[in-house]
Amino acid sequence: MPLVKAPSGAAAPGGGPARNTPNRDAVLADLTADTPDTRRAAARACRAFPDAVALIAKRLEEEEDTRVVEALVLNLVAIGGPAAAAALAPLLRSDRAGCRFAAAEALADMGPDALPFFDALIRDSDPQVRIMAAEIARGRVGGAVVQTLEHLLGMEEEINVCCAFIDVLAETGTADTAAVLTAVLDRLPEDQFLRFSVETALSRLPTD
Amino acid sequence: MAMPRTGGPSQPDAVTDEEFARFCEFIYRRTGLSYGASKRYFIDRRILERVERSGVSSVQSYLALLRFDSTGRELEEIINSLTVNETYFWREEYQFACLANSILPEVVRTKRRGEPVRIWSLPCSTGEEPYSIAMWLLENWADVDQYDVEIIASDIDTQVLAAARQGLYDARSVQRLPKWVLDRYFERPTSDRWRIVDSLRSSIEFTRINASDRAQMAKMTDIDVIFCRNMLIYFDDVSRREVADSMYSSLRPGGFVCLGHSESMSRISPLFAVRRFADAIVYQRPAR
Repeated sequence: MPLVKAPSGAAAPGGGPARNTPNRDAVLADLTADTPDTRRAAARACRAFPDAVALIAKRLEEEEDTRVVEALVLNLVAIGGPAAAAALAPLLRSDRAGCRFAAAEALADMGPDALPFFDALIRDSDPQVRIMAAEIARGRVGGAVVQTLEHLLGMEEEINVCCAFIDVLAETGTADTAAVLTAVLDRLPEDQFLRFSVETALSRLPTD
Repeated sequence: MAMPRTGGPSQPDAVTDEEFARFCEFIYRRTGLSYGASKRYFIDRRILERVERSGVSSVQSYLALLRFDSTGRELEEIINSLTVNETYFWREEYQFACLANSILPEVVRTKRRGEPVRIWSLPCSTGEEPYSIAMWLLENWADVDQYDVEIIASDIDTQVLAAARQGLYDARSVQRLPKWVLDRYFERPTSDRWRIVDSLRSSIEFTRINASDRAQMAKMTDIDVIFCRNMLIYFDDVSRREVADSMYSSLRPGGFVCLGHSESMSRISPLFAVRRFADAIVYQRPAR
């Protein structure tokens, strides 16, 4: 029979020797290595150093390889806490779209630790930041963000921001959200894309 | 190992909302398994069963036992009772056809002489999947004699791993198998039981792995194909991404992941490319 049993040492996690804690300086230095594989390995290893969140977030701002970005984001979510959220929040202003979305995704996955930052970013003077902040509301930050989005939608002047809020509310809203959406159309009746967004959202909202 | 029941005051018959929430948070932290309110009845039943069997007097005491049990036995027991192990031989066999017809021919193109083909079944439950892979390859992959094929089978549940090693099945498990397959790969210890032949049982490496434990996952390396079907549906978004990240690291560049028919890696992680083969859609770690 051509099937062979895998060596048990290689397949049994409990059977191998315990791994040493990685060398902090070497790992952090490897975050800027030339090869993506080395940077990704370092990005995975640096979870052992939760005090390095600022450095990890800085790498996220500069890193372009998707595989490394994913490892950095997962680290920041796993480390969690206000420090990690605080390190991620400024990245919503990054010039690089990949970085902005990675940071928003991480904050969305972070849960209640992201809430204070969401509350500030969703009221930012820069409409681009408000659009990215809306992405956080798709995540685990809690039901209160729906009320915040509904409240701010009632005052928002930028059409693109309105549409971003409506897009998220279509996923997260309740039956009560319908009245808020209808009110936006009454306030800004001329914009056809806004009308399309509202109608699409209304068709997706729960009805009871 | 269950502790003897101590008698004493009557056992609790309900789990409070707070206890339910604390339990779910604890299990999530340890395993990545995510349970919402829709699973309340299922979870409550399991907790109350374990309260009774472990001999503690309240759900609160049981939660303390779980948290501070340095042996990890009670955690293992409750995980065993929570995991779903419903499967059968040749389930979603189109993926095995894809493995033999498309995936492995591509995998072996870059193999050096003597380098094994490594296939990982995660989770393997009671063994139907890894044995199905083995039987399918022996019968359907033309090059099976040209390569050493290693099949590794892992699960978090120690009870199902023990059953998988034993390789003893009832009629429901083998219902999809043709008679000639049953005749070739099974023995009949009794009229209503089928046992995998020794030569096949001994060729599979069974090992316990908690998929949400990065350190355990990191020890699995150089894998060519991972079968990870109908497991990620029990995880929340973050845990799914973590497991996908670990699977990416375990795969060789160019290696493949097969998910359940209702699962999509594209909604979980940006790390994999979609590959559409004639028999199935699978996911691939890019070669470079």
